[in-house]
Amino acid sequence: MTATMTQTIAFTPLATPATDEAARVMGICNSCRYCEGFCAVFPAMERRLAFTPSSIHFLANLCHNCGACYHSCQYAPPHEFALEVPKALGRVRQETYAQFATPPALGRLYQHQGLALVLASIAGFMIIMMAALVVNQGSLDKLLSAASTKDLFYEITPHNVLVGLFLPVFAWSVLTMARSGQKYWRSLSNMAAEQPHFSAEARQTFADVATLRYLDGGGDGCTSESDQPTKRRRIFHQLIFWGFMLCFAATSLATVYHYLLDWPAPYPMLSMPKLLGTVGGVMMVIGCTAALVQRPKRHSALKVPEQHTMDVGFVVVLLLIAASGLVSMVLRTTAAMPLLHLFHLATVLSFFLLMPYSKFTHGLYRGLALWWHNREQRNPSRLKLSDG
Amino acid sequence: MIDVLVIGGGNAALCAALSAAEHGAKKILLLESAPKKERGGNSIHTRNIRVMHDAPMGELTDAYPEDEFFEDLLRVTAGKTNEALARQVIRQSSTCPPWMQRHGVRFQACLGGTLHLSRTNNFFLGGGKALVNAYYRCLQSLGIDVRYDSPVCEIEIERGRVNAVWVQSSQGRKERIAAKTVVIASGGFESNREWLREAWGPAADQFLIRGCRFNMGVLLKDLIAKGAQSIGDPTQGHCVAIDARAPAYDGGIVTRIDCVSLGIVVNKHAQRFYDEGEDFWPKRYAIWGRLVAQQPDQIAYSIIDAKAQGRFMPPVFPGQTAQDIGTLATQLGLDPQALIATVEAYNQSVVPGQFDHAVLDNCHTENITPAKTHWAQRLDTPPYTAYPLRPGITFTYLGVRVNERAQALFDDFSPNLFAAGEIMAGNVLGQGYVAGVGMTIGTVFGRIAGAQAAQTALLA
Repeated sequence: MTATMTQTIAFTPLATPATDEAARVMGICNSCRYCEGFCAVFPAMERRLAFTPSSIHFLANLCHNCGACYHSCQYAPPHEFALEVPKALGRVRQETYAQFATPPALGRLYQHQGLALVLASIAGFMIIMMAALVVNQGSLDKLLSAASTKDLFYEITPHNVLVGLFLPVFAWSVLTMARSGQKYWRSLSNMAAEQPHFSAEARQTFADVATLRYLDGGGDGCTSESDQPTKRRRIFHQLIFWGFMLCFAATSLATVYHYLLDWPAPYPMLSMPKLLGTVGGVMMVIGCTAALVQRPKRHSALKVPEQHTMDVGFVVVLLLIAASGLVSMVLRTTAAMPLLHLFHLATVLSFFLLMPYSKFTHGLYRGLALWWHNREQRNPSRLKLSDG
Repeated sequence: MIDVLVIGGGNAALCAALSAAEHGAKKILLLESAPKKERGGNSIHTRNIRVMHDAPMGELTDAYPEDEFFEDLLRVTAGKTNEALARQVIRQSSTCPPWMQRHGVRFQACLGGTLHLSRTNNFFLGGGKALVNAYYRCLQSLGIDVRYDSPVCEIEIERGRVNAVWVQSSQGRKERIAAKTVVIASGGFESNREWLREAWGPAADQFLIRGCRFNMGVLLKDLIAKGAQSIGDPTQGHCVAIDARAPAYDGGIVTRIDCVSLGIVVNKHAQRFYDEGEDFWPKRYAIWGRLVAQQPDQIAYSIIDAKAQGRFMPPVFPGQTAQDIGTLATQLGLDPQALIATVEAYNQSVVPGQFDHAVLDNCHTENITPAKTHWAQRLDTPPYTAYPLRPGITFTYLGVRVNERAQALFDDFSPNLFAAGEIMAGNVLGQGYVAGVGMTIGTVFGRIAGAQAAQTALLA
């Protein structure tokens, strides 16, 4: 009985100084509404008169931090209302990532010690894979020898070792994130009952995510550095997002080749897995590098200093994965290949292991928030506001 | 020497500078009295422009013909308008949206709760500050010089011809800047409390300024002293009832209290003093500033019950709430017995009807003074909520007289001094207000003033 009770009781986010400040900000925004046309945050806000921690965690994850509302705000500092909408919502998102993490303690630990966890897990996975090599071969000689890839690839990391490592790590990240997503969805759906329109919502949400619809300041681009809109950030993010998807597709396709077509790796340069992975990797390297270069130039109103390490750390890990993958491919016939190969695998494993606590989850919560928003917008507002 | 010197940093000034550049002026300088972070004057608080159109245009629905626009203007101003200039503004307003878009302004569908403006008013995406930012970016890309923190304290005028202006620097130094032509678009005097006191008496001390703190009317005074002919009533301003807890300056749109027509309004003696349901609130909010200003201590309280919750735009500050009227009165510092008596008398006068906030409904009172003629419902459902009201000044009407070329009138029209925006809006808007017409006057006359100044400078 108790177990089923806890299963069905919704997770409610805590009221904190960050949610209090966001509620104050949204309260003022709700009386103004000039930013209504910029993104999803404001139409969602207008359906409410009071802002609970749940609704604040909803609105915060709709925000893409494009900056349009800040630069357009008649109440931004030095006004005494001192509204900084992107920053207020950014601080709440940081709490979303920790509070909805599974388990939350690991979410909090990652936020304090993210870099240490990343480095330790990369080193740990390299040690595990080297240990596996020693156990299988009795020595580490292979690590420093150059040979044709075909032989060396599975000599260093036998297929069963790879599966033995990746399967539990991947299962862990999928299950914990599914649980986090479930908690977040419950927090959303507990705000108020809304009639679902499943296929319309799904189509709209998929389009919103795939095109990064709201990362554009209402049409002309993000105003990240100044009030001058540019499309740069959306382009960088698309390179990373779709580059990642191509790499993921490459791995998935290779798995199909391996198990269904009985065609083990490595694959020739012009094979689909190689092509998808190479193009995806190059896109990620360009996107991540550009994002890292652009980031320090971002306007201070769009920065949450406490979130900096988590954001930069995430992009750096993506860059390491993509770059080490590409480099180990280019240097596959040299003596550098074995260690590069291990490093690449270790970064991928670390990425998946820590995925449920990393900035990766912004996609999960934002996707769900957009989905809920697309459901709400298909239901009439409960308010009968008029200025007449 | 500078071809066109623009005084001011709001919509009209920006339009003038952009228009001057388009009409061939080479050396243009814009002097904004505010620091960069507070640039844009009252324009940053605006959200739309009223535009004439004969067919649907962008976000604007249907048609809004010249004559209807003019009739609207005639009605709110009670005839205090120069028809030639008014029609010029109206006709040219239809060319404004494309021009604005070319300069980076974006439009959006009318905001929630403003459906009644979807035909007549074009809303700026992100509001007036987004518009102001777009224009400043345009100035930058055209290489037009902008100086912030540069209030002009004096204009050198000889028989209606301007030679130079004097800028007061923050260090107290004065700098003379000579120019072939000058466009003055420096706003009204609503930030100047002393001047407001001259017009309104000590009541002005309680007024809140809805716009910026920079509109001190220094140049308006200077010009009139130097022989410029004035227009508009110096003792009048656009005065609305806003939340008494609003900041002294720059409260802008959020300080509105939109529940007056849903309840009753009492003064500090807990007495009603005007028909709260006389007409739709957007048509009446501007008379309530004056009504509150006439009450003792210039304070009033809008009181509603739970039935009104969720029916009006959310006020920026939470209301005072209580489960009964007596407690509410105590919280507000009013005499509980007096407020209870007022509410009881009002409740007894309410004639039941079909409540409908979207029309002038038949819910009204009988045998009570003042009557409430629409939306009268008994205050009987707790919790009760009260919002304190004070007069809020939006802008002033006093300005300088201009002709259709935006030249300021002295003994004759000045050959090289042009005026645009609030400082000359009184030519068109002698009193009253209709939403978005300030931006229409500012944009149209800003463009005219800039073009005329550029042409004059090129001939000089």
